[in-house]
Amino acid sequence: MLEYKTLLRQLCGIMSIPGCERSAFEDVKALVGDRFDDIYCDPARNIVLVKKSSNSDAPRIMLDAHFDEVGMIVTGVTDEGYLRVINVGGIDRQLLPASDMWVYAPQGKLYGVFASLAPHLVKPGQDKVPEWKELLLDIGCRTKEEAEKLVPLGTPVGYYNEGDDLLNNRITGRGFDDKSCAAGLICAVDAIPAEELAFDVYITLSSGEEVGGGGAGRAAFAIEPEVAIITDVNFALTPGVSGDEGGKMGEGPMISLSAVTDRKLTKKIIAIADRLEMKHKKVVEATSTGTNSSCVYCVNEGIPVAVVSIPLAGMHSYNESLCLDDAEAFIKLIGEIVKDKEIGGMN
Amino acid sequence: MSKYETYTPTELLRELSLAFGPSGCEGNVADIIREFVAPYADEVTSDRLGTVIAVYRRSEDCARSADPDEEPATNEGKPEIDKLMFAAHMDEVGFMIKSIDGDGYLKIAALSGRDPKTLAGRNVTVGDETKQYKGYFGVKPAHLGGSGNFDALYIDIGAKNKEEAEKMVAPGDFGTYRSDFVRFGPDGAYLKGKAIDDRLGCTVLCMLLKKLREENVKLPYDVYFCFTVREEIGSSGAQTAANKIQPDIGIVIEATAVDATKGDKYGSVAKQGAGGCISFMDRSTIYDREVYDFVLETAKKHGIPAQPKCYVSGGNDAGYIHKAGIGAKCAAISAPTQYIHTASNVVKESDMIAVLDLAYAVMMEMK
Repeated sequence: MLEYKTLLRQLCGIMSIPGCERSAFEDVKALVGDRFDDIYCDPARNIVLVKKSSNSDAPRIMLDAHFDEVGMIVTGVTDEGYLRVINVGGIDRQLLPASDMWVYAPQGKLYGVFASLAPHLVKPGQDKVPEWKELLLDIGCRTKEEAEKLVPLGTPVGYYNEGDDLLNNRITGRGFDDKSCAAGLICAVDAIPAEELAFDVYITLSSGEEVGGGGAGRAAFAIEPEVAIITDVNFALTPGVSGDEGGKMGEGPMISLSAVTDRKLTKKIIAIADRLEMKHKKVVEATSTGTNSSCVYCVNEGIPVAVVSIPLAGMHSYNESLCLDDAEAFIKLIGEIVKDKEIGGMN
Repeated sequence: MSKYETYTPTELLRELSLAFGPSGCEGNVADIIREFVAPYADEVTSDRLGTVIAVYRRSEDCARSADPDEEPATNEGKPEIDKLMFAAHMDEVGFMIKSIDGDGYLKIAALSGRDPKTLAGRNVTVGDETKQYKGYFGVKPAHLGGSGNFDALYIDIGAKNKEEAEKMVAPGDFGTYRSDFVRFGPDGAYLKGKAIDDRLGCTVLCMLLKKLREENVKLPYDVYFCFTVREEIGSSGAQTAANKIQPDIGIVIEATAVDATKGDKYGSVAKQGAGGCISFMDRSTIYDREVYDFVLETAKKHGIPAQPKCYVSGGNDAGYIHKAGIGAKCAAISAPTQYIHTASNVVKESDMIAVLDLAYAVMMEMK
């Protein structure tokens, strides 16, 4: 039996900044490949894990969690040996000064820190939000030649934060968007024996979600599932987030109500949650869920999709945080979905 | 036997860097320092505010005129000295918990200057000297118009609600960054950690005392190694320690802010890798010219890298030490350090060693 927190930390240790998803494939395969009937990386850099039902007539379900994570790439080196970077995915650059980073250089990852002017040296007017070209990453090199030797242009850069355990099963780290769902899907499907599966299950650890590339659409095209469940993180209820937008950590998964998702499927999932007496939060996202649902639902002749989420604090920032209780509820809910014969017969 | 006996300067800096010690809550740092200095000091005391003072006494058979190595017995070119005070502050930039909101998030007040942009998302430790909890600085997601505004920051320790949070922490408790100590750069020349400002100074003082004892140095003056409290909120620790000691000369060992991103171009304070920065003036002190020259001359004589601090900014414990009692002549030797007052101070290891060597040479030259 897979242990969720361990698997999550392992997946978060695999760098998968958009464009680098393929390099993650062998690592994912080594971790969980032998627990599935098939695992492959498709041309769109999606990692697909297949577990077949023992019923040969079973319909196909796609369970999607994107595997890419926000990051940066190196765009230049200054004469003083500092790296310039640009974001790959949405990153609030005003929060980067003095942040610890990993530079994923060819010879191995290097520690780096974004330069930040000490308050003592700041002159009036200098404390504005830096532009990307003004953010300089210090890797301990003080000449251009030294830095260029270690770090070629295009080298990916990500947050250093390894994460911690807080109170109440709350954990912190980087890359929980969306590896928290990826780990949840793997744990959920792994725990259900093939005889109990109502579907042939295709877990897609999809590429490019953070840059709008939507590898999930290509995966759906190839898999042709009867239904798809898109799983992603959603906003946790934290200061600055309204009760309409966010779900309280520790009070279960979130389920999207949207014009782009299938309401019948969504209602069925809500009914399952209710039957399990599982706390959950319904969240209205009228025309967009901000997830892969938008690139999956209109593939081929159309695919009914529903969106199930884990509430996440600090999305895309140096520290993301979630509650393991929510992940466990998520696993339980997904486990019930893939056993549900009614869902398979909905089309 | 103290576990610190075999520590290198960098190993001690690491231990001190990781310790919890915001201004007003320096006890954990003081415990490490007391344990370190115990085998080497003639006397270890504290003042009423918590500053730790380790004393290395003069040798009575070492009056200047009786020094056989010194012929003729003259003090020419050497500062008059009876009591030498070294100061390095134990406290680090920190926070104080102001209130706990209904959902269990902590609101904070700053305990010294910092850029709120460097806080959001960062790991913190909250609590006091006896118990601490892990947390991080929360921020509104960028998708919803996030903000690095200080007032919008909060600390999340994972508490379910106010009642639960109140069982762990209370208004008035402290917070600091939580940040790994990392060696990095080509040849591992740089060290990164929190509170290098000024645990670096504490490290240097500890190592100076250890070296004096191990080499059984005989001095004609007393040396007071002062590990001060509350520098970051106005140097009250240095003030009371200096009042108590009334030194003739005070030497502050610090980590001073520099910016290497522009290389040697105008506006750089000092260069990393070029040794300790000797201050002629900052926002709190105009340093004694005689001692300033003496320190620079000593560096030159011993071939130890050192450089003037070419920028008037900041301030340190010298601001009070030079005004204590009838006044003391002061100098400051600082390791040029980047990104101070953040979770990630960066110093070049060779600069710390240069500061240590220079401070030791200065003591020898003052004999």
